[in-house]
Order: sequence, then C-alpha cells, then structure tokens
Amino acid sequence: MAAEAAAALEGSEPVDLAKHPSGIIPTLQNIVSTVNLDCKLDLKAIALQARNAEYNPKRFAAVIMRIREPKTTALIFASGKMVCTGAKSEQQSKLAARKYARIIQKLGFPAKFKDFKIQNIVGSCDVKFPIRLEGLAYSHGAFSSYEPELFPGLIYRMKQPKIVLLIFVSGKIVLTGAKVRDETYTAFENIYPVLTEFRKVQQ
Amino acid sequence: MYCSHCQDNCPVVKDPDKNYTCCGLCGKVLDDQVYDGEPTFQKGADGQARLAGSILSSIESGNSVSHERTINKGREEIRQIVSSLHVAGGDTIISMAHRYYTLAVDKNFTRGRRTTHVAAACLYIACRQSKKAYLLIDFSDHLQISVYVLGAVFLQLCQVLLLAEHPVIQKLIDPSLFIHRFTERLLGKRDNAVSDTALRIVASMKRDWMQTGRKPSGLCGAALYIAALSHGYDYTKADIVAVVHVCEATLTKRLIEFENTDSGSLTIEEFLAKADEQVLVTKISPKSGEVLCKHKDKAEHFAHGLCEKCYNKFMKLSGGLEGGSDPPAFQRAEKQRLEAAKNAKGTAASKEAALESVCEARESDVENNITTPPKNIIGDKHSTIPSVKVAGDSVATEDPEGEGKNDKADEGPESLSDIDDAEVDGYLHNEEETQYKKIIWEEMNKEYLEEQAAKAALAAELAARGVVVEEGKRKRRRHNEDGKNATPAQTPAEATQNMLKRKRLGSKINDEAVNKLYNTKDEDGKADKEMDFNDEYGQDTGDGETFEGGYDYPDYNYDGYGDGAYGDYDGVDF
Repeated sequence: MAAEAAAALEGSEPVDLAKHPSGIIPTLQNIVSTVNLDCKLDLKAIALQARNAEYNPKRFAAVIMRIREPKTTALIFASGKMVCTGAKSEQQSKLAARKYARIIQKLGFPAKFKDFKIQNIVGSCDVKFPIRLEGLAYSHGAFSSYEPELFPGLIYRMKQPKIVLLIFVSGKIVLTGAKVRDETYTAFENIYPVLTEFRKVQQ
Repeated sequence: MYCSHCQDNCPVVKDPDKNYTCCGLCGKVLDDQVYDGEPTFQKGADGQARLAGSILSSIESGNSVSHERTINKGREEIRQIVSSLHVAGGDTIISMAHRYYTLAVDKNFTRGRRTTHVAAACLYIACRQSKKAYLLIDFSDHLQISVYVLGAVFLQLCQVLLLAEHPVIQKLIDPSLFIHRFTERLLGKRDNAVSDTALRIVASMKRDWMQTGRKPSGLCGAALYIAALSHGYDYTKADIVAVVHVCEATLTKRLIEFENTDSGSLTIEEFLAKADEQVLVTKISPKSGEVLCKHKDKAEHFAHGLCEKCYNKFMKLSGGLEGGSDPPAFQRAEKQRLEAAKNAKGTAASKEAALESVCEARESDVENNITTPPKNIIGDKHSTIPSVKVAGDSVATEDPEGEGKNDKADEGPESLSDIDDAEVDGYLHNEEETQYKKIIWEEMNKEYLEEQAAKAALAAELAARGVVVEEGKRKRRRHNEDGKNATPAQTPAEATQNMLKRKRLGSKINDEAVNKLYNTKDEDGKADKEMDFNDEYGQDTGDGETFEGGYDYPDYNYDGYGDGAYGDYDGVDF
C-alpha cells in the first residue's frame, strides 16, 4: 500500500531540472549486491528446509533462493558469501539481503550481516526519438564500438563516470556498471546532448 | 685522427700486440683502449679448451623452433581460408593477415584459443582494412562455428592489438560493399543491372532508417531479392538465404519493413526514376562547432561535430538525419507507448481492485484473530507494522528496541530483528515437509550422491591398501618365525611330518599311512593304503637330499634328549 503510493508519487512528481536538465530520469532496473554472512553453511540442509530454495550441486555450487517482496534472487555459497540480484532500488536490495540472512538464521546458522555492498546498478530510459548510431560512431569513435553484425546497439564506454551505455536506434538507452545511483544519472546527462545531435530530423 | 703533437690530422697505426692506436708520423699513442673484441679461449680443470664467457640472446638472435612452427601454422591456416573463400588479393592479403597473426602470437593471444579462430579474426581485420566484402559470418560459416564466438575473438584481438580505436576498425561497414559479391554468387555471373538496382534499394533503405542496428547481410538479401525479381530472374527466398547467410524469417521481416516504407509502394520504374532524383542532394553550409571526429586537430568543423570529409562519409554511409520513415524498432516502441496510454485508463480500475484487496486482507486478519487465537501474537505484529509506517519515525524508534530485547540471539554488527518473522517462517518447511523434500532431492540428485559415495569408497579403498601392506609384513614375519621356530625333531615320524609341512604336501599325504610306516608292530596294513603311500613316497624318492636329511634326525635324537623332552614335543603335536 505504502509502496504503491510512493510509486504513484514518483510518477507524478515533477522532474528536478537542476539535477536532470534533459527532463528524463533513468529508471533503475536491476541492482546486484553482495554480503558476507560470516559462517560456513551446509547447503544441503538449507535446500531441504527452505521452501524457496533450490540446490543442484552438479550444476552450480550455490543455493538459489528467491523471495517475493522485494522480488529478488540470491546465490548463497558454502563460504557464507551471498549475492543478491533483481532489486529495483538500493534500499530494496538491502532489505532483501537482510531477509535472506534472517532466513538463514532461522535455519540454525549463526549468520551475521557484514560488508553489504552494491556491486552494480543497471538503469534504462527512453529518449523517444530515433538516433543515427553511425553518426555517433563517427564523432565519438574513441568511446564507441558499433558492430551491427554482432550487436544491434552501439556500445559507448564513458570514461568519467565509468559507465557503459547501450544505445539503440529506437531511442532506448541502457546504462550499466554504476555503483552509485548518481553515476547513472550523470552518465545519462553527459550523453543526452550527443544523442540529440544525431536524432532524426522531421521533414 | 687528430694528433695533438703534430697539430694535424694524421694517419693512425694500430699496434696488434698491445692494442694501442698510434700516430703514423710521430708515433704518439693516441688511444690505449685495452678491450678486445675477439673471442678468447680458456682451458678448464679437465684441460679442455672452451670459449670464454657466454652468448647473450637478443632480438636479432631469433626465436625458438616452436615459435617458428606456430607462425608457419598460422600462415598455412590463413592461406587455407583465403583459398576456400576465394578472397581476392592472393599473397598480399595473406601477408597482411599474417602480420596481425604474428603480433597476436607475440602477445600470447593464441594461447588457449584455436589457431583457426585467431587466423580467421586476423584475416577479417585484413579484409576490413582492404575494404574486401567479407563478413564475420562468412568466416564462421567456413569454420563451422558460431558467428558470435568468432566475433568475441575478433573483439578481444582488437583490444589486445590496440586496434579498437584505430581507423581500420572504427571505419563502419557499408552494406553496399557486399552487393556485387552477393549478386555474383546468386546469378553465377556479373550483372551490373541487377547490382545497380540492388544498390539503389539499399540506399533507399538507408534513408528510411532500416539500416541502423541491422546486420548488413539481411539488408543485402532483401535488396537483392527485389532486384533479381524486377529483372526477370525467378529466384526463391531459399536461394537468397543460401547466399547471404540469414534465415528466411529475417529475410521476410526485412521485405515487410521495406514494403511499409514510401518506396515500397512504388513500381520498379517509379522507384528507379525517384532514385535518380535523390542524387540531387541539397548541400549544407558549414556550421560552427567543435570537431570531434578523428581529424579533430587539423580539420575545420562542418556539421554535427564532423569535418566535411567525415560528414560526407557519414551522409553516404548512413543516409542522413533528415526524412525517411521511422526505424522499425522505434515504430514498435511508439506503438507500445500508445497501448500503454490506453492502459492508463485501466490503471484506475486496477487501483480500485487493489484497494478492495487491501480491505479483504484486513477482514481476513480479523477472521484470523477470531478463529485462531494462537496466532494473535503474529496478527498483532502484523497490525503494528502498518501503524508504525503511518505514525512516523518517533513510533518506529521504539518498536525495534522492543523487538531487540526479545531477540537476544541476534549477533553481529547489524541486527536483523526488524525482519517480519511471519514472512520468514512462511519460507521454511516443517519437519514432515523437510522429510518429503529430502526424499525428492536425493532422488533428483542421485547421480551426484553416487559420485560422492564413489569418492568415499575410493578413499576407503586407499586406506585399505595401507592395511594390505601391513598384512604383507605380517606374512613375512610369520615366514621368519616359522624358520626360527624350527627345532630338531625327536622321532623319524615327526621329522617326516615337519618335512611334509615345509613342502606344503601335508594335505596330499595320508598321515595314518605315514605313521604306520614307522610302526614296525603293525606290518599287516591294508593293501590300498600301502599302495597309496608307496606311490607318493616314490615321488619323494627323487629328492634324495631331503630323504637323507630326514633320515639323519634320529641319530641326533638318541644322542641329546631324555624322556621328559619327548613328552613335551608330543604335547606340541597335539
């Protein structure tokens, strides 16, 4: 209920043009975080006692556990390290990681919650105009990799901040590699003037 | 050299004995360098003469034999690919690709990768550099591997050789480059009419934003198909597909996309007439700005951050920024946005449904409180949390503290006590469910468990081998003990028994018959037994030494021992 209200507010909230001159805010799509539970785990015991866990040691040496809210997936290793993916915000990623840790505690392991860290943030947005990728490749060749035979988008490796952008002709942009939310926003504001330079001109 | 004594440049003479450099006229020593560049020999302790010092290897000293073999293998692979794909250029293209291959070998890029993959990637770079119309999929088709596997090798090689920012790789691929080769492969001959029509169709596709983000082969296939049909050739899509290495669905998609453009609705005559008009392109005047292309230090800005040369290339290759249809991907996105706008009306209905579901949840909470008293605690916690959120921070600060007191077991730098226990318990199995899941899990992972059991059995077997070694030692000890414990026999019968045991013939001998042999009172034994004994005894007769040794024992017996000792030995026998 509260989450839905917050989402509604975000949708209707006017964009802060001081921070987002383009008027577009990238949407965070996925956050990968890691945490150290700091104890050895019996993966078979976890897999048998947890309803939401699957463990196939022949295929992958970690327990795969999922929870519904926030909707995330965790990889839990015997060493006590855990990787949490699928969250849409930093707070949700931490909340999900703490829920997984709590489940492990309930199963009888002396799990702690140490060294939580956001490892990667993936964002996406739509500029809503076609982009001539060839022009981008010509003018920013030092940062661009455009191989239409291998990938339909242009891969732009921004140096500062160090973000990788995937730019498609349809106007959709994917930003990946950020460890802080502001890096994603800064990268998009940096690239937006270049995208408008090579947008389709209507007759 | 200049002689300070003669005050003039004079010829020099070199003294071979002392290595002095002297003036040829006055004899002054001009240089007395004592270094000797000639090889010298010295005798070692064994008197053998050998070269003094050691030879230092340098770049000019060359490489090892295996390095040469690797280089030659790469060249041979490149040559094979060139001949198989009929790449024009002959030795020139082979040498060019081979130079990239040599650089890759020096960078250890070939280690861990197949030689054929690296050779193909090097050849592809050479083709890109020479503007030869070959795609990655041509090489991958020849090597029978996935185009993305070869593409990954190609991209990694560009990184290793620092080519990622080099104009050779930065130069974009123009689909027009491939039209002539595809036409020749399709028709089996050169046909400029079909090629020209296909080129015009590709140019039209560029202007209609069909090219950007698309594989060149798909566009060429569609253009070639239309051009061939318009010139009266009766080729099917399967024929086109075989030439350009795309699947038929992709070809169909490109044809539909072209059909949706303005040019798609024209007849071929109208299209060609319109294409001629397109040649009259309006020229743009230069604009002010910063040059961003590779000529940023020398050329003047023309438009879009490009110099005039790059701008013209960009316009020719891409079709420009003005006019044309929207790209197909953009059209699909636009359609989705329209549908999303329509669904916005449904959002209000879904919100109402959400509100109703919340009310139902609250009613179910009330029912739980009534029907299931033991869950009141959980219900109370559940009802408390929303109020905490609604009330604000002041209330929230108190509740976690209370929970903290209740959960003393929590440890570590950060407490997890604020997590909802009801939700967490929902993720756990009870005892019965755990047993069922254990059965299922062990059945599904039977192979893994068997492997683990096999490993344990192997470890046990290795431990058992240690025991086997000990048994061997014991056997040796027994053998030694048997030898040590051997003592002279008291009677001829006993001596015979010991000999038979030592020879391991005891199980084959009739003991009673042997005993009767030495019992002189009972000479009238059974005929059968006597016969058996004689046969076996006859076998022993061949071993004369053993018989004599056994016969010697009674003498020793009579000389040494009394009746008491004899009695003891009888006990041992029993």
